[in-house]
Amino acid sequence: MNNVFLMIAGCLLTGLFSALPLPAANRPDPPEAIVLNTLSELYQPVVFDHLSHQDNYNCNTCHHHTAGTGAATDFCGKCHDHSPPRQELSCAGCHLPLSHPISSTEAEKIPFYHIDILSLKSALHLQCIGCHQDEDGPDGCLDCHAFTRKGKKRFQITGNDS
Amino acid sequence: MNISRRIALKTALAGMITSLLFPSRRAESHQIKQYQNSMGVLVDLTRCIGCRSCEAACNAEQKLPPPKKPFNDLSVYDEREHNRRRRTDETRYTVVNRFEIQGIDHPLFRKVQCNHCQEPACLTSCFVSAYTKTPEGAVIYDQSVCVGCRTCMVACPFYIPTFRYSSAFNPSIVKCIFCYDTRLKYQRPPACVEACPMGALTFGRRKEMIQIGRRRIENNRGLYVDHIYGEYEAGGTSWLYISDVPFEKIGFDMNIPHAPILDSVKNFLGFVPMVLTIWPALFAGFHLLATRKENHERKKTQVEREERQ
Repeated sequence: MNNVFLMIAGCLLTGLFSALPLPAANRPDPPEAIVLNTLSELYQPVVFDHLSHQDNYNCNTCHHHTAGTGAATDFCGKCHDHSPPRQELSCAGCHLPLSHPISSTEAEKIPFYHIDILSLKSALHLQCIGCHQDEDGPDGCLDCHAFTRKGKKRFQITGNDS
Repeated sequence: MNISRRIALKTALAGMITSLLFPSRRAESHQIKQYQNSMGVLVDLTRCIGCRSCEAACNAEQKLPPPKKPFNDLSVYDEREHNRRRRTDETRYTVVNRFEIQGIDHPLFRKVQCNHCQEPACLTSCFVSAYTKTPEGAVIYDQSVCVGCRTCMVACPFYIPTFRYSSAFNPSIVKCIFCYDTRLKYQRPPACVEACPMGALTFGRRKEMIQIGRRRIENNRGLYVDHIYGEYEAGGTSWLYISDVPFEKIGFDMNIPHAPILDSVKNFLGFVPMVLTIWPALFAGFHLLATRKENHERKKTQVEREERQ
């Protein structure tokens, strides 16, 4: 039953980053792989093997507030226990591309509890790297990311190395 | 007649000294100009993995010359120049350095760039006013008025402004400008912050960055050192740091005063004009007074001697 919560960003697979909460019965099976392409300017898309992660780890290791065997942290649930954000399964649903309170009007809109939410890029990296280091997973930049042409130019890589 | 002149001189001198001393006392406890919407960056040293994305982004944004080694080459962390880790220079406005600390199984990384002080020592030391602290928080520099004296390089407590030694006829100081021209002016985060994949750099209003820093320290009790480096150092800086190891172990100077650098030299510098203008007149006066008495007595004895004869 809990597995139905494991749909992590089916829409990530299709390139859409705004997963809408679906009623539990209508939830599709969790995706086998998710293509992460938020950094597509400098890096080629990363295919995240959701299946192997879901087989080996608890859902709430990554879906820390919403899915699996209870939330890992109850911080969000204090307010959102019965509201749509609690049903959110995709990372991108809460972690926006940019976390910077940019214009002054935007900054004033940020509520008290949402002051320090990680950007999507930061959330994914912080989520992956610590665990990969502990579990001997790939943890070098190029172990997951292959440069695009623009990426090579940005990092000033000449010749055919890497 | 003589006595009254002496009293007049004394009172004048006393007045002069008090007028010189008291304004400088009052100026000592001056307020740092706080801009309400001044921006800042919170650097969380627990998150940095030393990927050098920020260095690459800075190079591209500021159109700096290509580096000797590509930005994904991590062997730069072993480079030492005069037994010193890498520093910023005219080809790089920011560098990341690696620190291996005993008792910690992973290396720590520290990004170096201009900290954009609230009251910059480079700015106050510059006698042609080449530096400006903008309301957005950046400390920027105008090459057109710079005479290349390099006083700012001496004044900066963080050793940030560097000189463009490659050009002999075009004096220029180079340092991080917070991406002012291309980004900060338009309320956008600097290129390094945008490039950071780990959320080690957070951009926002300085006072909010202090709030976030405090909250991270409180919410992860025991993880962080209970200090935000830059909140008070050198009068406060726009770039702020939180760390899980003592700051001095990763190259931070903990002896930097909490008051602006200006405050530690102002009293001394305030004396310079006085020494140059008042002292010559004052001591010439003393000399004249002292010798006048001697002359007077010499004349007097001469007269007496003549009278006796």
